[in-house]
Amino acid sequence: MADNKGSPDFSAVLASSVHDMKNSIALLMQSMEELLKEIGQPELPACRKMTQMLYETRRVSGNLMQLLTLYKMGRRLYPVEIVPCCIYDLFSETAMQVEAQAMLKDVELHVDCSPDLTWFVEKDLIGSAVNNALNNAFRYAGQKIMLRAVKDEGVLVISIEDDGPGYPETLVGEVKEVASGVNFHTGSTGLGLRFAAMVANVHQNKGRCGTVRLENGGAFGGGCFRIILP
Amino acid sequence: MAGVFFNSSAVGDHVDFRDKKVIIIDDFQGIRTMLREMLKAFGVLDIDTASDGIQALNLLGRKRYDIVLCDYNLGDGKSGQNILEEAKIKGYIPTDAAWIMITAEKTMDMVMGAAEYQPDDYIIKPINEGALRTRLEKIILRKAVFREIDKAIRNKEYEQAIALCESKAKDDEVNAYDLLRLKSQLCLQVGKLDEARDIFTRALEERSLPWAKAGLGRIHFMNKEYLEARHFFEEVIEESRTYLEAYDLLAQTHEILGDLDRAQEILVRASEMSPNVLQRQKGIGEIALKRKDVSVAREAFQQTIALGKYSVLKASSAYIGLAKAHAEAGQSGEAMKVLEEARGEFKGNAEVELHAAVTAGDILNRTGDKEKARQSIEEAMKVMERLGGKVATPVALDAARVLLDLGDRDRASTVFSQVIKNNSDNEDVIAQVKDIFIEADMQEEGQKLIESSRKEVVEINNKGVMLAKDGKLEDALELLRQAASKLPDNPRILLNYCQVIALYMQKHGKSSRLLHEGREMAEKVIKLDPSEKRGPMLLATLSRMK
Repeated sequence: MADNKGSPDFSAVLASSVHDMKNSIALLMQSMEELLKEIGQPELPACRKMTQMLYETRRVSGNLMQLLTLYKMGRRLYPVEIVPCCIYDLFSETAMQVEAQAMLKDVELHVDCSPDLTWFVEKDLIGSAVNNALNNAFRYAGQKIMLRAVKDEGVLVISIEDDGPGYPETLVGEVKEVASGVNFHTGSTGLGLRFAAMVANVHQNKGRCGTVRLENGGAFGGGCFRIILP
Repeated sequence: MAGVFFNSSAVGDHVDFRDKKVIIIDDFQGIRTMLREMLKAFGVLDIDTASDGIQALNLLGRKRYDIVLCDYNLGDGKSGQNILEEAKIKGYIPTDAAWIMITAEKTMDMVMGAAEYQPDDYIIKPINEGALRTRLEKIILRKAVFREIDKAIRNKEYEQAIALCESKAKDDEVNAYDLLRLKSQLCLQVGKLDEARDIFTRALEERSLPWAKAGLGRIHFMNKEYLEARHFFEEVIEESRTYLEAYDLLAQTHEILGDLDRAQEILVRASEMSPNVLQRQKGIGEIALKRKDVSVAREAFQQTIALGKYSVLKASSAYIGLAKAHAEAGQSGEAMKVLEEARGEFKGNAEVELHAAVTAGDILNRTGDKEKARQSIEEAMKVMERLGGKVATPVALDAARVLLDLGDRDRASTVFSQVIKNNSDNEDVIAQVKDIFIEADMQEEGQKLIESSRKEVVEINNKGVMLAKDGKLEDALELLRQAASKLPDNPRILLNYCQVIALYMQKHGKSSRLLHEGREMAEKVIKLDPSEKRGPMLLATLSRMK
C-alpha cells in the first residue's frame, strides 16, 4: 500500500490539510455565531467586530474549498455530478448559511425563486459559487440583496443583485476563465470569479456552455452577478 | 428590516424533529458537541453519539435511528463508508432512515461508489444550524416520497415498485427525474428492457445524461451485442470523464470481447481517479493475473486486501489472487503465507478453506512437491464433500485442474462433470474446461466429458417436461427442485423449474412458499442470462398470481 515513489501526492496533502483546517474553522464559526446570539445586541461595537471576524472566517473557508476544487478540477479528480436539483432548496440552504450575517450587517436578503423550480446543476459547486457571490455582495451592499433564479429560453439564470456602488466598468461583461492575477489595490485575487466561471463552464448541454456575467443595475441598481446555465 | 425573506414559500409538510432519534458518528469531540447543540436547537431530544465504527455499529444494532449523521473520515479503523456498508448488510437501517455523510470535500470515492451502499445525502463542512435544519428537512421529506418504493424493493416486489415510480413521477416535478431513473434500474433488474430503453431514450432527448447513455449501452450488453455496448460506454466516457461506472462497464465489455489489455488499461484509469474502490481493485488484479502482468496483479490484490481490512465486503478471492500472483512470480513461500492469512481472516468459511487448499495444492505441485500437493488436495476434497459438491465455478475449476495435473482422473472427471452440468450453456466456462484438457493433452477426453455431461442436463430437462405434460406435476416439481439445487447456475434448469411451479400453482392454487421460490428462480435467471426472454415473462406471470 505504501507509496515509495518519492514525490508525495500533493493532492492528498492538500486534501488532508483542508479537512483538518475545516474542522477548526467550523468550530470557530459555530462559536462566533453562538456568542453573537447569546449577546443578542448586534449594534454593540464588539459585536460589529465579531461580525467582521465571522465574515472573514467564512471567506477563508470558502477560499480553501475553492482552491481545493480548482486543483482537483484541473487534474480531473473532481466528481462532477450534474443532476436535477430543486433550486429553491439550494437557495434556502445557502440563505441559512448567511442569515446571521444579514441580521448583523442589517441587510435584507430577498430570495426570489419558485418552490418547484428544478434545473440540472452540480449542486455543491453552484452552492459554493452562490455562497461566495453572496459574501461578496454583503461586502458592497447598502441594505438590500436579491438572490433570484428564473428559467429563460432554455437556460437557468441565477442572479445576485445588490444596492451597492456596482462593478467597475472594466469588469462588466462575460467573465472569462483566465483570471488576471492579484490586484493589490483591492486585495482581490480573482479566485472567486475564476471559480464561478469554471463552475459555470462544467455545465454543458447540447453544445452549450454555462457562463458568468457581471452587470450593473438589476433590481436595486447596484452590482449584478449572473450565472447562466444551459 | 434585516434578515432573509422568501418571495414565495414551499408548500408541504413541516418536519417535526422532536420525535426523531439521531446518532452522530464523528471521531472529533468538538464536532460531536457542535452537531449535538445544533440538533437540540431545532428540537431533537433523542441524540446518541459514537466516536468510532465499533461503537457506532453497536448502537446501530441496538436501536432504530431515524437520522444518522456520520463523518466520512474517521481516522484509523472503519471509515464512514465501512460503517454504512456493514449497517446496511446487517439490516440495521430501516428503509425510511436517512443516512447523511459529513465530509470536508467531495471525492470520487464517495460519490461514484456502488449505488446500493450510497448514503442518502452528504453535507460538506462547515455547516451551520439553519442550513443543517433545511437540509435535514429536505432529506426527510424526500425519503417520505420514496418510502413505499423502498419498502417494495426490500420485499422484492419489483413490479409494484416500478408502478409506484411511474405514478409518483407524474405529479412530483422535483423528484421526477430520480423516480424515472430508479424505475429504469428496476426495469433492467427484472428484464423489462424495452421499458428501460424508453426511459433512457426520452431522457436523452432532453439532455445528455451519462446514466441514460450508459443505460442504453447496458441494454446492448445484456442482449450480448457487445460491439454496440462498447460504442455507448466509450461515448459516455468521452462526454463525462468522471462518470466512473462507464469505465467498469467498458472494461467488462473489453474483457468479454477478449481485449484484456484495454480492459486493464481502462480500469487503471478509473482507479487513478478513485483508488479506494475494492471491487475495481479486485477487477484489475484478476485481469492482470490473466495477462500474467504479475506486478500489477500483486499491487492490485494487495490494495484490495488493504481496503477490505475494516470492511464487511472484504473479498477472499483477493487473497487467492495474490497467492497465485506470488506463485507466478516464483515466490511460492510468499504465496503460501498469503493463503494462511486467508484461512485466518475467513475462519469457518468452508469455501475459502477449500479454495486455499486447492491453490496450495496447485502451487506445491508446480514446485515439484507432489506428496504435499496430494495432501493438500485430499484436505480440499474433504471440504468439498462437506459442501455437497455445491461450490462456486471458479473454485471447482481450479480443483478439477489440479486433480487432473496430479493424475487423479476419476475425481477430476467428477468435478469437471459437475462444473459442465452447472454451466452447460455457458460458452465461457465450457471454453475454460476445453483449454484445461488441451493443456493436459487430453482434448478428446475433455470433449467426450463435455458432451456426456451436457446430455445429462438435457435428459433431466426433458424428463421434467414430460412429467409435466403427463400431468404428473408433483413428480416434475420434485425432480426439478433437486436439479436446481444441484445446478444453481444453470438457467435452463431454473427456468423449467420455475415454469413447473407456475403450472402447479395454476392447478392447485397458490402457495406462498412456491411463489417465493419461483420468483427467486426467475430473478436468478435474469441475472445469469439477461438475454433469455423467458425469465422476465415468468417473473411477471408469478407476480400476477400474488
